[in-house]
Amino acid sequence: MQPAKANNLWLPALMLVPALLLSVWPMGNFANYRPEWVLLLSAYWVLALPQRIGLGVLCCVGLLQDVIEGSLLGHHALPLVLIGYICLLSYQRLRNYAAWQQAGWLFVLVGVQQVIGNWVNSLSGHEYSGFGFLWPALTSALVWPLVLRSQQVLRRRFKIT
Amino acid sequence: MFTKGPSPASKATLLILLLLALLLIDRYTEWLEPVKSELGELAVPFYWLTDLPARLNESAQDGLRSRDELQQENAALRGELLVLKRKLQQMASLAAENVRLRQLLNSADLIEDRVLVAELIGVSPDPQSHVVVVNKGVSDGVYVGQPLLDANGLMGQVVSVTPSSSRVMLITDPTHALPVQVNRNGVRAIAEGVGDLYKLKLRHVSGTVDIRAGDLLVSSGLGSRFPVGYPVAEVSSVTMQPGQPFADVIAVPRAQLNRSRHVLLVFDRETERATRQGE
Repeated sequence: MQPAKANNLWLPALMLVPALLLSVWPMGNFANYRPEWVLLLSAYWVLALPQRIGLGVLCCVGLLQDVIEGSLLGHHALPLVLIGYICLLSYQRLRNYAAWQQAGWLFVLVGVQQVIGNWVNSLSGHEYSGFGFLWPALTSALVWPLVLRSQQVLRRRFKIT
Repeated sequence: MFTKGPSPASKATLLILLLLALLLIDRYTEWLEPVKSELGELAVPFYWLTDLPARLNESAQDGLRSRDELQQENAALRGELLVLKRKLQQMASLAAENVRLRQLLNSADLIEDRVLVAELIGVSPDPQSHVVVVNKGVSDGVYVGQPLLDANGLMGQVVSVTPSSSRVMLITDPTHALPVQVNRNGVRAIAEGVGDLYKLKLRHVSGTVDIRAGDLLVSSGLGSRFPVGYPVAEVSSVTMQPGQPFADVIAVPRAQLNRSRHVLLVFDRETERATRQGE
């Protein structure tokens, strides 16, 4: 049995533009607290359409973010693939969680991403002393309900499958 | 609908290994530089957009200024110009004297550097790395290793270029170090960044060296990266800990690293030639 035909899949791709913009927006002293917008967006769409958004897509998204942020190639792609895989394994359970429970889970996932990111930074001599590099995990968890609701509205309004 | 192609687990393992390899290749070799230079062009529209509010603000400020304000600014600028011109008159005779003296000593003439005005269009989103993006690239003749200045001092050096933009590592980045000398007496040192925009640290300065708070540090040109004699930082404190072999010397960068929008890329002929030959 073939899965149903894709519908309006270009919209999530379009949403990537504001996410990438937010991830390079100059934030001055608050740059330490920047939520991981691209990761949140990818996590939502993997959980929503696990049969459409595969790991290859996530790999490309991560590499695009690396190119735009000017980091080492793989800095964002590597954790994105890993977290996408975790989401693919557990999407059936995660979908049934309430928004705040998902936020707690996202806190852990972004934390994992930050740890990997910090390791990559330490390769080029930019390691963070202390645990301040985990701030994005908290802010990402806090904005997750926002991402969730906005993308849900979008998905239902345009019947994205 | 269940199994198509490889399982997610094997796919994930394969992709992660591939990305890990890519990461290490990118970190430890330069094979990916040409690809990254071309791909970097993708980033330009994003930085252009993030820079838009600042630019709109600037043009609004320019456009909505009153006649009075403009006249006042004009008067102030004219006054400043007069003061600078007076200094330049003295400089001309000093420069001529310097050339004569250097000829007496049989050393090479100092060549005047050519500069290119650029505008800062973005900052690195990673708070750990002090990297900024400027709006001039290979097509304007920018090359890797080129020094960047603002009106007050040295800001950093170009670390990667795309056709129409380039990334500049600031002197305060924790992986950056540059050779400097004290303007007062010529004592040489290495100034390295510590990841703080208002702080540079001098490495391996022994406790007996004549250096004190208020000294101006200028680039010494010894690394043959930066041209000689541009102001870099001002020493803010020198502390000698008994029992430590070296003194802790902290300096404050002269350039306004987080405020300058209009910056200068210097074409230093000797380093330019050296870099080109090295490629």
